[in-house]
Amino acid sequence: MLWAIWFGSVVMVGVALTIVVCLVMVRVVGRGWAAGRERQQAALLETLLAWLDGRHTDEEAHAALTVNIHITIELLTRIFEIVRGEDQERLAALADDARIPLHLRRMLKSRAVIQRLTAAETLVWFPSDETRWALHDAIGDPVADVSLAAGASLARLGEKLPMDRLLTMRQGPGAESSRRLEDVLIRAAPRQIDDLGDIACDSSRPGRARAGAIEAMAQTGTLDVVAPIAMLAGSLSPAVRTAVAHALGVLRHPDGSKAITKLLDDPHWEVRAEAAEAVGRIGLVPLTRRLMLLLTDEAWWVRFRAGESLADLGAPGLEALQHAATSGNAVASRMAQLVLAERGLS
Amino acid sequence: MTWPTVNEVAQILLQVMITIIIATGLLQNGLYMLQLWLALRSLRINRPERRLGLLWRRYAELSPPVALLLPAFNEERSIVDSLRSMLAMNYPSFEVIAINDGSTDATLAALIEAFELEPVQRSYEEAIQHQPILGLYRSRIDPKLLVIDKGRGGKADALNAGINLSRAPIFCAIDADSILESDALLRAVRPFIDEPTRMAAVGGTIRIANGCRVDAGRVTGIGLPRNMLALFQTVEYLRAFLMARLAWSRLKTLTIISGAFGLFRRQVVVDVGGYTLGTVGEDFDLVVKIHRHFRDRREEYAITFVPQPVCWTEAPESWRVLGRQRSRWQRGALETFFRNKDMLFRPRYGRIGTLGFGHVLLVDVIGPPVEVLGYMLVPLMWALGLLAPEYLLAYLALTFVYGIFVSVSSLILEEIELQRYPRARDLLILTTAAVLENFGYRQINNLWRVRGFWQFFRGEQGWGIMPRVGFKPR
Repeated sequence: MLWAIWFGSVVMVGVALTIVVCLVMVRVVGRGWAAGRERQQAALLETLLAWLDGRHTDEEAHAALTVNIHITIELLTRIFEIVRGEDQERLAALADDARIPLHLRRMLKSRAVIQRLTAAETLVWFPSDETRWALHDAIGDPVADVSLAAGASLARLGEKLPMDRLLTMRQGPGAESSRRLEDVLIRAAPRQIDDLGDIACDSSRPGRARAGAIEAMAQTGTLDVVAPIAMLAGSLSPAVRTAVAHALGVLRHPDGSKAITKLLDDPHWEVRAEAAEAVGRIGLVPLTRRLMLLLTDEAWWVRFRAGESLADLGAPGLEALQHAATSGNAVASRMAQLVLAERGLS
Repeated sequence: MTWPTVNEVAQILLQVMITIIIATGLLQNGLYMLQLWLALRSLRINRPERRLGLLWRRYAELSPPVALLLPAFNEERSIVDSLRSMLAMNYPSFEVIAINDGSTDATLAALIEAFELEPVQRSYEEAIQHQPILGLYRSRIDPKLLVIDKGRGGKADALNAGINLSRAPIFCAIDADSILESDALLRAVRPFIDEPTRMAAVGGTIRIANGCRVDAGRVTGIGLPRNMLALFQTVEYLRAFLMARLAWSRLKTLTIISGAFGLFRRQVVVDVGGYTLGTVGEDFDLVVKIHRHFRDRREEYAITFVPQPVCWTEAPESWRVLGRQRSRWQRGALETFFRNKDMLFRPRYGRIGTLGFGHVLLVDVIGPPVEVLGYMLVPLMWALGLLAPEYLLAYLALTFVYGIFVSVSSLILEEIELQRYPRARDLLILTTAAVLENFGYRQINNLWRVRGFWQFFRGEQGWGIMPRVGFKPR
């Protein structure tokens, strides 16, 4: 065994050093290749810009697109990030003629995650039935990035998302709480408010998923959602109650005041803090006294949000802050003084 | 019955010791092989997206606010440039909190002048204790900057003050003399986007800035150090971050996030009482506290390492300063290990107790003294004709040859997956350094670490003097 340790180590070092030499050679050769690739991309960009200006024909532009599909896709991905309106539509139509979407759909099946991700994001510029089917399939991708990118693209295309499938695919510790999943839900919300409402009300789902659904509903700005969200203020899940308080603040409708009032007394400080912030956003002046009581809350964030909301309530709130600043309660007084000082109102 | 002679007993003892030395070497190198394999798998799966525009499109709207905390003690030469580069980060929502920790030079004056600071009042949660705050300052020219002037308390104390003053859900602790790449936050915050409730802390990569072109607090050109010592450290850091941290992160047993660049969920750190004072290994200690906190409560959590976000830092170029640093790191590791030794191999702490702490035991506690013992014993035994050739060769393999393999393999990982060094020549230079570091540098390192043991057992505290050279524009 001891001889094996020696011989094994020498062989391994030999292999490693050989790999390094190969990598150096690849670098040297690759530098030329990378420079060539950059030149091709620059040339393609120039051709496309000239085509947009009318200085190249459709045939010339079409031919340039098909020289190197990978370079074309890479360039188009960049262009579509910055070009908008008619130019973007024209480019997309040209790329469609050059069968770029077909290549992208094939890329969705690639073994390389980065290729599948690029495809899932770029296909949004090529709406068609085939694109939609391919993206629906891609929601089942085992990699969250790809699955959620496909979901986001479908949502942007105005498609209804398979919510159950999307949430089930992303199950696992923390997976359902992903902000990217929440972002997809927000994009889908305008067309699938009822589905989101079902998720929010489904007590068998994890709190974070329900919270995501509530947030998505609130982001639509539709006032019809105020009542159903407010009804969830009694949920057993602190994550849901926090989301309810935040959502009602986002919606800024006085119909949420009853739920907010209840949440101001919640046993969890995160809920109370969100509720206190919502009071200021909605402008619930009648809750001024409740906010003043929260200036003595055990949790600093609750006290801080209460102080900030009082400042946001205009004259009645400022008067309450000034009263608290000179009150006998050291905790409330300090918070009120600092909030006033930060706002330049002391 | 005949008793063995003194000679025979001595030979048996020596044999036992050499076996222990070789066994320890085998275990260590076996662990490094495992780390290499895990790191390779991790890099293959999570290939980096190079384009900032694309990253911004994907993650900017989802990124949570971050507070950058920069503790500073006597940093008048570099603090303004550092802060300017921090304030120019490519990140949607962040604030920069510089904490002047009782500097005796003109650090505060430099800040006041450069950023037109004015005194301000700010409500903050006094969640963690620290030395008194002497003043708070806001910048007239950049509202993102807040400066805390406080009494001297050390780095951990300064960070605790910064945590109290920060309001963002995430904070990023960074050394005042380090340079964060402009997209580093956007890359590092991704785990918090993917798992906003579970993710407790994220570590990024530290790279050596010596030899890089630095203009106004930004690394504008990547290069290699000319100084041999700094070159060895470049290889070391690649090994430590690209191999070890990545591997442990993949096994969900990451026990350390570098104090020079780490992101933490603020509430989690408040819950564990902030950074521990009076230790030189506050970064290691904090992560272990977080593990303990969640494991004791049986709550789901995650601590991870992301290799792509980079923070550049200056490496010591003098043997003396480097030696002090390494002895201090060793002291810090021992402090944290022995403070938390009850976690070792306890089922309650799962992989952290077994793999995580087991690794620390092997590499940081047993490893250095056993290796140094080998340096003394093996040549002696060979000279006295007491060591069979196969033992000698096995020892040489474990001490020198496998070390070369591990270092060179780390370079291969870097080249295949990240390729940050622009020239092919850089790879050759680093490979040469990876070979040479095993002949002298590694051995001296172990001697410094053994000195760290001595300092630990003597109860020594403090950092010693760590003179800065400063980033020199190339």
